[in-house]
Amino acid sequence: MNRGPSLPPYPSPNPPSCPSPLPLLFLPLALALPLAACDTGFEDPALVKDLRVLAIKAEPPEVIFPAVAPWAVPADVPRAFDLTVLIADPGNAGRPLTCSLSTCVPDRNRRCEDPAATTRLAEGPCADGETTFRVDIPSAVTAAAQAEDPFWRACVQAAAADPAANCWSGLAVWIEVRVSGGERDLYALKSVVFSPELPAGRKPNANPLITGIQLDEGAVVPPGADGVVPIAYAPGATVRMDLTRDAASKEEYALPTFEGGVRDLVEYLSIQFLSDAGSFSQFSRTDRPDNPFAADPDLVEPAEMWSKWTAPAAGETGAGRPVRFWFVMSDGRGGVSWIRAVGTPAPAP
Amino acid sequence: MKRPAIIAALLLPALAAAQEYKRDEAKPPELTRPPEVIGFVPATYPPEAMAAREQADVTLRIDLDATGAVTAVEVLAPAGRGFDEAAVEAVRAFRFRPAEVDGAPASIRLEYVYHFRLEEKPAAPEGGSPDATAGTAGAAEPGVSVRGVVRERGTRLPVVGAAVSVDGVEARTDAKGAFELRGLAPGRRQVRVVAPDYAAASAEVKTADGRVADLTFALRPTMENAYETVVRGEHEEEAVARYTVSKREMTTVPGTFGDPIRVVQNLPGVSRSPFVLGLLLVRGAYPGDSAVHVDGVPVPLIYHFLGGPSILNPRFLDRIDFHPGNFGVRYGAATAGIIEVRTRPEVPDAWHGAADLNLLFAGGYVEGPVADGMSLKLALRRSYYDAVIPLALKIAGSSGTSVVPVYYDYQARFDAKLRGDDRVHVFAFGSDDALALATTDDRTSDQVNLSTRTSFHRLTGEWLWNPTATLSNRLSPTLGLDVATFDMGEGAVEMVTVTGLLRDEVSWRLHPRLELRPGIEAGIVRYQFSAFAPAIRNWNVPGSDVARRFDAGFDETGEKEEISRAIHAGSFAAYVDAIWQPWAFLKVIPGVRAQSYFYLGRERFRADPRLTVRADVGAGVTLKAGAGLYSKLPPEFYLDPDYGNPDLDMEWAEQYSAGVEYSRARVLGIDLQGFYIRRHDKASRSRTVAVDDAGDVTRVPYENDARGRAYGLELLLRHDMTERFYGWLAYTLSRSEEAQAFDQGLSPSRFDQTHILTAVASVRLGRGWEAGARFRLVSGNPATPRLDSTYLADTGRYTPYLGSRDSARLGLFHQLDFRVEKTWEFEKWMFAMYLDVQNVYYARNPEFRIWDYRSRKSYEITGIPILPTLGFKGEF
Repeated sequence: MNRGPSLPPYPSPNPPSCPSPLPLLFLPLALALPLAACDTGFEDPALVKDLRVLAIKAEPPEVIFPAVAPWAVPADVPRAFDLTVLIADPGNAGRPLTCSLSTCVPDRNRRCEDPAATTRLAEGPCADGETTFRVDIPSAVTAAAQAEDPFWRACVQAAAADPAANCWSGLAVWIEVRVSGGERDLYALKSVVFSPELPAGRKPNANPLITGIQLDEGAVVPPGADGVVPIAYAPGATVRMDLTRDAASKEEYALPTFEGGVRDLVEYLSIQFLSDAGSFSQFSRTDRPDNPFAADPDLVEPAEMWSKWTAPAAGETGAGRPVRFWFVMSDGRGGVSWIRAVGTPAPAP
Repeated sequence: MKRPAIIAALLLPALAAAQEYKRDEAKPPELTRPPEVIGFVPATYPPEAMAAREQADVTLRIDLDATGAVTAVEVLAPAGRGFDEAAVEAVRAFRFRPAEVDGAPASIRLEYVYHFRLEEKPAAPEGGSPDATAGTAGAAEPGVSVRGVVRERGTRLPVVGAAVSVDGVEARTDAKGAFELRGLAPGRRQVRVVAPDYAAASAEVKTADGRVADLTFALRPTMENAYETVVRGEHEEEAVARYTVSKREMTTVPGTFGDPIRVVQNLPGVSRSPFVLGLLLVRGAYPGDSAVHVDGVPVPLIYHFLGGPSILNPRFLDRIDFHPGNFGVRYGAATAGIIEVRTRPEVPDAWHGAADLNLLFAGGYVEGPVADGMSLKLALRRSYYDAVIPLALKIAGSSGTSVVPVYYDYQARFDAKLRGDDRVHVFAFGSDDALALATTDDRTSDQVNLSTRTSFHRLTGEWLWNPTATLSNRLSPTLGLDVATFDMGEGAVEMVTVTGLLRDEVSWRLHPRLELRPGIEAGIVRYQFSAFAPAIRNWNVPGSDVARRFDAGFDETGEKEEISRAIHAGSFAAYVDAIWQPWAFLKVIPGVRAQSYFYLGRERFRADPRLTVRADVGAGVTLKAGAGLYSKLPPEFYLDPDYGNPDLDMEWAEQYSAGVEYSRARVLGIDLQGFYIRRHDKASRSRTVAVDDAGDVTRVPYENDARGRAYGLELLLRHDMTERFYGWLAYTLSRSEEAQAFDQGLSPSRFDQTHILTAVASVRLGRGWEAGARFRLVSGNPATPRLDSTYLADTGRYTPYLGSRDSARLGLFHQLDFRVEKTWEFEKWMFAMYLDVQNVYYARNPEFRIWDYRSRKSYEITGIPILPTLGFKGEF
C-alpha cells in the first residue's frame, strides 16, 4: 500500500506580498527586512478552515506497573485505552470519514510506514466531532518497543553495574491515527505510557480538566449538558477568553533521574485557542518560561493564559453565523483535554 | 611641438620579481641582482604612426642567458602599425648585465612594455611646471650636476626606473626614485623625465661648475602600472592550486565593498555564502574546515559581524593567497582550504596616510620611517552603525529597532632591516565585535542588554635570519587572546582563550635543484570557561527523545549555577618538505606534517604526508598534481567535558587534485583542475545514550560519525591586470556529499552548489574613472523537501513529513554588482569616491524557505535587495 503523500515537494507557489524593498544603505536593515516586512500569506493556525485533527486524548494517558528490574512491561498490566479523536471538518459536517489506528515505533517522519513493523489496533467511522476508539496494546508491541528504547537499554546496563541505579522512567507506545475520506489523508500521533513505579509511590498521569470559560474576566461559563459552552458575541467585537481548570490539572510528579536520583517536578500546561471564524490574538499559551535564562525563581503560574478573540464583522467570513470554538489543553507529558464552545451572534440592539 | 620619446621598462619586472622572491616563506632561490641594460638602443618611431600622432605600448618577453645576451624576444601584446617590429628590432640589440640568482649569473625571462610616446613640450623656463619643482643649488659635489627624486603625484611613492635625461646624458631612478646626472656643462638645461605609465615631465634648471641642483618631480600616472600585478614567479608555484589576488584587485572588485579578503569569494572552489555573511566555504566543506592565517598566525575571525568588512585595513595587505586544497605542510588545523594573508614588509621612504569614510564605518592608516631602516605602520577602524541607523530612521520619520554590529579593529607593525637581508618585525593586531541595539526608542535601549561580544588580539613577531646565501631561518613567536561573551537576561557565559605559539622554519638549499624546508610549531592554550546560567537538568519524561531529555535540559525553575573551569592544552607539530627539481621542467615537493594535540590528558597524533608535482611542458603549459592527508581537531566546543565529548578523535581528509595551467604573456591565463576529497571522522551531533564509569546514563553529544566526499572541476580564465583592464571568469562544477551518521547514506552537503560561475571585469576609463562589474550565477543550496506533516497530539504541534535529505534545491542564484570609482590626484595627496551597488537589477534570490504550521505552504526568504554603498577615500 502506498501511503506516501502525493503532494509535490513545494506544494504552493511562493505567495509573496513583500513590499518592494527600496534601495537600502544599511546592511543590517537589509538583512532584517526580508524577515520582518514580508507577508508570507500563511494561514492562521488558530483558524480552522478545513479538515483537521484538533486533539487526541487517551484515557488513561499512563499506567503504572510494579518496578521490578529489568522493568519489562508485565503482560497483565492494564492495556486497554480509550482514544478520543477530536476532528473538525468545517463545511463538511457529517461527511463520513474513516479513522485507522495503528501502533509502531515511528520513523523519522513520525509515521508507521513499515507494514511489517506496524500493528493495526482499530478502524472505524469517524466524523466532525469526537469519536472514541477502544484499543488494546498487545504485549508483543510493548516488548518490541521496549527493546528499541535506548534509555531502557542504558538503564538496564546501569542497573547491572549498580543495582540501585533505577533510572528508567517508562515506555511510550505510539498510536498513529489516520483519517481518510477527506481531500487528503491526515496523520496524527498519540502516546500512551507504561511506567514502572519509579520512584516508589509514583502516581499515573491524569488528563487535565477544563471547567469552563471566563469571558472578559467576568463570570465563568460552564459547559452545558452537551459539553459545549454557549457564548454570545457581537459582530466585530473583541472578547478576552480565559480557561478555568480543575486545580488538580497542574500535577506535581516525580521522575527518576539518569544519575539515579529523583526529581520533583510540576507540569507546565499549554492551551491552544481555535475557532472556525474570527481571529484569536494568541493561538497558543503556555506557562512554561520561554527563556530559562530569565526565568523568575518564584514563578508559580504565569497570569497570561488567555487569548482575545475578535468576532467577524459584518461582511467578513463567518459573520452572522454560529462560530465554533475548541480549546485544547495539554500537560506536556501526554495528558490532553479540551472544551468546545459555540458562539452565537447577539441580536442587534 | 611634440617629439617622439621611447621608454623601455626593463628593470621593473626584475625588481618586482625580486620582491616576490623575498616574500616567499621559505627562501627560494633569490634574485640577488636584477639584469641591467648596459646597451640601450632606441627603437625607430614608425613614421606613419608619428605622422598620425599615434602612441602605443608593445608588451614583450625577453629571454636572457647567463651572459646577459638576448636569446629570444616575443611580442606578447602587439600594438600593430609598425610598433611591434620596431620594438623587437631595438630590443634584440640591447645589451644587459646578466641577472644573478643567489649571487651567480643566471638566465632569466623578463617581460616589459615598450612605450612609444610623443613627448610633451618642455616646461616653462622658470621651472613653474606643476609637475616639477626645481631646487636651489646645493653643496658642491664634484662631477655631479643634477640630482633629485621622482615621485608619483598624489601618493608620493617613488617612481622606479624613470629615465631622466639632459642633453643626451641619461640616468634612471633607483628603488627610492632618486637619480643623479653627472658631467653636465654649466648653463640652463632642460631636464626631462619619462617613465612608463606616467605623463612625461620636464623642468629647466641652471647648472654651474661645482654646484648640484636638486629637483623633485611629481609625475602624473596615466594608467595603472602594469607591473603592480603580483608576479607569480616559477619558484612560488609549489601548490596545485593557489590563487593570488593582486593589489588593485584587492579593492576594486564590485560587490566586495572594496574589501580585499572578500575577493577570495569570487575564486574557483569557493561556494557562495548566504546573504553577504562572508563564510569561507571551500569545495563544499563547512566554514570551520578551512583556516585563515595572517602572516602565518591563525585567527578566529576574518570578517566583522553581520556582513562587515574584514578585520584588516586593506593598506596593510601585501597579498592574499587562497589555497582551495592540497596546500603545503606548513599549514595545519584545516581539512579544506587555507587563506593566507600577508602584510606588507616594505619600509616606506616617507610618511604616508589614508582615510576611508563611508556611511557605516571610518578608518585611518598611517605609515612612515621612524629611523634608518625602521618603519611603523598603524591603522584603526571603527563602525558607527549604532549611531547612523537610528539617525537615519528619525530623518526618515519612521521608528524601529534593529540589532547592529559594533566593531573596531587595529593593526600596528614595526619593521626593521638588519644586516644584509636580515630583518625583524613586530605586528600587533586585533578586533572587537559586539552586537548593539539600534533603536529610535530610548526606553528600548535601556531595557535590552546585548552583551554579546567576540574579540581577539594577536602580538606576533618575526625574525628573518640569513646566515648564508643558501640558508635562512624564520622565527615567529605569537601571543594571542580571544574573548567571547554571551549575556542574556540573568545568565552569562564567557570564554577566554590565551594562546602561545612558537614557529621556526628553515630554508636550506642543499643543491641548486634541492631545497629542504623543515619547521616546528609549538603551542599552548589555556581555555577559561565561566558561566552563570540556568542549571543543566535532564528531563527523563517517558517518550521524549534524546534531545528533549538532555539538550533542552535547562532548569526551568530559574535556578542558576556558576561554572568556572580552566583547561590547558598543548600542541606540537614538526613538518618538512623538499623542493626537488630533478630536471629543470619538473618540480617535486614531497612533505609530511606530524601533529600532536594534548588535551585533558589525552594525546592525539597524526602524520599527514603530502605531495605536489608540477611539470612545465613548454609553450606556457604546466601540468600539476597533488595528493595528501589533512587533519584537524573538532571544534573546541565539541570537546568540552560537560557539553561535548572530550574523547573525540581528529577529523581528517584525503585530498587529490590534478590539472593544467596555460599562461600566455602573463596576461591571459587558464587554470583547470579536478579534485577529489574524502572526509573522515567528522564530529557530528549524536543521539547515542551511554552509561559512564559512575553508572550514570549520559548522552554522548558528539561522535566522529560523519563522513563526506567532494569532487569536481575548477576553471579560471584570467586576464591579468593591464593598463586598462583586468577580469576573470571562474567556474566550478562540483558535488559535495555528507552523511551525519554511519548508517546514513551520502546526500548533498549543506553548501553543495553544483554550478558556480563568477565573472569579474574592471576597466580604467581614464581621467581617474574606473568601472567594474561582477556577475554570479550559482546553483541553489540543497534543501530537504517537506511533503506533508503529522499532528503530534501530545504537544498540539505538527512535525514535517520530510522527503529525502537535501534532495531538492532552492532556486538559482544570480546577481549583478556594479562599482564605479573616481579618483582625483593632487600633487601630494589623492581623493577617491566610489559607489558600489550590489544586486543592481534586484534579483530575488532565495536563501532559505520557511513553512506554515502544517508544512503545506512555503515562502522563500530572499537575499539582499539593491544595496548601494557610497564611500570616500583619501591618501597622501
